[in-house]
Amino acid sequence: MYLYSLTLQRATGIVSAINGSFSGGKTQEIVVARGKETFGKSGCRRIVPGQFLAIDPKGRAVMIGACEKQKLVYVLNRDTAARLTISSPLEAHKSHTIVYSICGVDCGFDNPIFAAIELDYSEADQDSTGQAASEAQKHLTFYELDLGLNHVSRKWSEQVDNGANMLVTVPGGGDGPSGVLVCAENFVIYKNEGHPDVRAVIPRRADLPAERGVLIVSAATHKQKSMFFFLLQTEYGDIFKVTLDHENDKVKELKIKYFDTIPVTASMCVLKSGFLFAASEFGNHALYQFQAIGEEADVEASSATLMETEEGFQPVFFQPRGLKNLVRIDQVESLMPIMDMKVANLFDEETPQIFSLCGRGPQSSLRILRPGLAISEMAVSQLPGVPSAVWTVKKNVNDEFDAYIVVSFNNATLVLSIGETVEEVSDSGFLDTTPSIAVSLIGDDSLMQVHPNGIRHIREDGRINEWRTPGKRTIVKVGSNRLQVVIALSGGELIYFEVDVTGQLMEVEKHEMSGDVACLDIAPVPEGRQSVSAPPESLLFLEVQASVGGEDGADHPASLFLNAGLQSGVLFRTVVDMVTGQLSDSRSRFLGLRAPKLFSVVVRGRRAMLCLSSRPWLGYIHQGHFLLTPLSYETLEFAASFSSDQCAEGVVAVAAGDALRIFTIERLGETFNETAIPLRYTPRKFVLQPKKKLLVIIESDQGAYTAEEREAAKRECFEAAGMGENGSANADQMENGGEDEDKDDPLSDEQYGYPKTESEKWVSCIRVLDPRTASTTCLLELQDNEAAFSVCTVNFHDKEHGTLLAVGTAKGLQFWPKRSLVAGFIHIYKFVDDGRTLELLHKTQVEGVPLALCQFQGRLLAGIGSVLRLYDLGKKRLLRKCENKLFPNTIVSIHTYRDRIYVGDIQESFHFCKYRRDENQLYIFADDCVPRWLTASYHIDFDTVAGADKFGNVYFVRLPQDVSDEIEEDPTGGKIKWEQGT
Amino acid sequence: MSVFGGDSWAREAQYRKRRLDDLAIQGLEGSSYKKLSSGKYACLVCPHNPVLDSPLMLSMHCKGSRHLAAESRLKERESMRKDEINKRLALSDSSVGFADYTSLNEKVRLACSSKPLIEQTRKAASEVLCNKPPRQNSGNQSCDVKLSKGQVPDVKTLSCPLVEGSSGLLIQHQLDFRKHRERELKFIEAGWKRDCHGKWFKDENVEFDSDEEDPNVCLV
Repeated sequence: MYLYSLTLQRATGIVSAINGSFSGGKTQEIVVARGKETFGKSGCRRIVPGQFLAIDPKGRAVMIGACEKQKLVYVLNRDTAARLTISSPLEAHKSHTIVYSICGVDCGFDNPIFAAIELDYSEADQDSTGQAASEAQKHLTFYELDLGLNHVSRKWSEQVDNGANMLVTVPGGGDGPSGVLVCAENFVIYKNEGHPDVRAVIPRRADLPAERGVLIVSAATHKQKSMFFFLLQTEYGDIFKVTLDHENDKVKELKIKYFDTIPVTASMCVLKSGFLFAASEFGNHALYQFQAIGEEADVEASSATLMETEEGFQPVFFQPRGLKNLVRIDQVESLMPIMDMKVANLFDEETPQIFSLCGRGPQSSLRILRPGLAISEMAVSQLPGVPSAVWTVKKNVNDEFDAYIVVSFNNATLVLSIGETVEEVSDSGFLDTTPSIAVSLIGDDSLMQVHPNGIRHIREDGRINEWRTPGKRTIVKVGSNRLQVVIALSGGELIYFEVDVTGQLMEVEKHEMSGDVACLDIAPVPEGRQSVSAPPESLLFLEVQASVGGEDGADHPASLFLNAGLQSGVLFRTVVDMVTGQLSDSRSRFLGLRAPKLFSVVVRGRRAMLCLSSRPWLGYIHQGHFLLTPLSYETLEFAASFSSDQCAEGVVAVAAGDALRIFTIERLGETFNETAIPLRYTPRKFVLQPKKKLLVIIESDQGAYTAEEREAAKRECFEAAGMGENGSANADQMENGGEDEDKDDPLSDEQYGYPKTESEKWVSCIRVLDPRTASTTCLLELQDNEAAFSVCTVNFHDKEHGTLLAVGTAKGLQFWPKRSLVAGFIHIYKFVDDGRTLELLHKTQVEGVPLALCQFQGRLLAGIGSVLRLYDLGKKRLLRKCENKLFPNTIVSIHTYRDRIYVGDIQESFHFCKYRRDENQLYIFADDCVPRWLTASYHIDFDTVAGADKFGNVYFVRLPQDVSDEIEEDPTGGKIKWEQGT
Repeated sequence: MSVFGGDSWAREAQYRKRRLDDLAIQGLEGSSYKKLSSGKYACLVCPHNPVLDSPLMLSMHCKGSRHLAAESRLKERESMRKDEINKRLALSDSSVGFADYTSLNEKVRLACSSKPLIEQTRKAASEVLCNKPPRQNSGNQSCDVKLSKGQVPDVKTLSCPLVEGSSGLLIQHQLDFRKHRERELKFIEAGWKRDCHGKWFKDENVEFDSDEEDPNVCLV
């Protein structure tokens, strides 16, 4: 079997980011790593180097480390041609050692040194009493690469805090004192060989529970000639500015000052131009501009004021506040992490929508993705009739903006002038009692209106020249550029005009055609050249007589394309030879059910093509590639490019109905137009109700306060700060405040994260959401430390309730020191109020976490731990009817089809089961032979399921045809039983 | 050691072995051997069904002269059987299979005049089939039609227009049986079991609602 794949959207999460100048020149560039390439296809192994990477600040060597034991050092050099050479690796292994972090030490041009936080577990491994394990100690070790001897040696090793997790290089070699900052739980410690420790406490949020520590998760260094500082971000998102007070190589004081709070990042990059790029593993990435560098007074912890008492070091507290030093100027959308996804056409559009649950904690959202470019509508205005066409014209070729919008109706023409506002004018010189066929700027500064009975040429000074058609013939088609006009008369005659030196429009040539002209266009005049290529071109277009609609030359480096929209809805693109007019290399693409009409628009200063079929498409050049992508907008009839001082590159269009629309196209190069609806907690799963067009989402978070508690705490905090009025709590604010990102909420949860509680506390809610209005119709917050983990709709047969909602929850779930819970429950809810509200029917206690639920033959299948169980609906609770305990680990997914059940185990892939009515038993009759760690699953057909595993593989499991037949032909099930030996 | 190093050597080794086995078996026809639950392989071609330990040995066995001889014998027999089936099919061509009886009634009548003997036999056969105790009939449905796979005969079409005389009673009987069976299945699904006297009792591992129907009462 071969699987073909097409990437719709590349990974949007960033694992790591660095900045610098890489492609030469003085540009500031940011390099990001998205997605992960694993080692050995099954994830990062303990002793495969690659988990850690550190570089000598002078670029002479690189160290690549594994989680355990292995470290390799490569010496980097340049050969005579200045090409980079990499030596064979030098080993710096130490067995029975776990590595937490490594970094290069800046020691100028002395031998390169690398620092590592290590833990030796050799004794702990031998000691079965566990005493050695509890006494294990982390060490900071310096490895020196001796460039002369080409050898790596352990130079220095000293104890560090057992909470140490990260190392940050301190500038050295004349720029600073050298050494490293060791980031540990609650502390930052400056360490260097032969230097006493300088320790400062990391300030804590005032509302943080005492049991929680503070860890640094990302760091950035900013270095100028005279000074340097570090920005360290904690796991709660607070950024601290760390400065070292030093005299030569002697560090006197280490200061940690509260800087600002932004969402937790994976990497921060401080750009020399005064920007901070914050790359996140989860949630959107953001670009901030520095307003200040934290010179003002703020909460500060210092090594000089560190107090040690009997209870340990004295903590420093602070209260997070609004951004003071940074201001966000842009953000890059990221879907990470996608928790659940479904494809459905709930909006009855041409293509189905993708519904995905994204993000975590306060940054969670439901994102509705539609293939197509996003547009933003600038204006919609009603017109007096049904418009047939629209154009925009400039008054002078040198004008930056358009002067008029001309709208043609069946029997009239409307002229709107563009200024501060768009309003109707009558002094433009255009004939308004007739429909128009074309309106354009001609020559340098005159306007042309082509109507069925002639051409009206309006000179700059207001003089009007009128050319009338001979006899009773009318103009049917027009093609024009700035200097040439070709018209086609009824009966098939072409007349060619040119603008002469005086700006007069002159008839130059006539050409009788054999048939009616379907459409024509003329290539744009290249700068500084007046080529007369019109007659042959229009002849060529006559060959596509089956077509209706225009064509357009989208200009591409040194080539001209002829695009033709055929009546069949196909767009034809051919290359036109610039010299001979020869057509070659034609390609076609089906755009929609209507014949595409083509218009030339401007996108990012380049000509692009708008194709209007049953949906609009945009053909444009992005990063050197010609892309033809649909727009996420309704069907349009006619369009023209639009440019005014409010909107530099827009499109004015008329759609079915009588409205004039002005819009701009945004975020070029993206595949999806996304609509984000904020959610309260990390979304876990959701179900669709296709009939009611509603979504039911379950959300849960560990270690957070419920919405009411948060609200109360916030009010208290504001009152304490003396701003009680602003903090007035209303229901809207309990949502993450994502509806309006810039609203005045001084402490939005999106920005600052939820306040943390003890880790055994859970918050969770069940939400019914109407995706069309993006409104929540029902939100049930679970009480009593319960969290929802699975959801499904179920229709119990023989029971009167119709469709019910089953939600699997766990109470008091803990993962550490051992996975444990107080109880699991399955809640059954009734839909009331046309499916918009939920009402609890009853709740059944079960012994584990129900991680998977599914309807099966009018009953409910639940995967509870390693047990697959069938439930029926009872009056007061669910009734256990049948179960199978033979699953290896934990059931995480259940799909059903006819009488088959496809069960996904967290660690051992899929198991195929069957339910036997006459014995009331569940049988496993086949399982996957590869033990995969299942993360996602989907049912394909009777014999096939698709899955994805933890290591980034997508796989399909199919039951061999003969086995499948055998199972189906065994009505008694005796064979399965016999083979299983039960 | 695995080429990648690390701790999943056993899994990978197992996987490699399985892959090797797959390759060894690939050339063989699926119906010529059977994988036993013990993981061994039985050759279905040779008359005494030798059991072989591994796919490699199976593939070697399949190249042996004895196996080849048995195979050619089997093929011969197979082709004879096919001939026979074809012959029978050709005979019954003008008549009908069990399936859509009604639609072909006219055809049958036509055939009646031309082939009276065959028609009589067929009629007799179908009568016998229908008079079988119904229990067996429904139980063996899928076995009966193994030859004509895909057209599982419905009881209704099977019995409806057959023999005019006793049909009414027969249909009623069968429908009743079906209904009864369906109700029994409902109770089994709900967790009821039967003891050796045919009495219903509740499975102790199953939960019941307080007001649930008792099959001992309502299935008499």
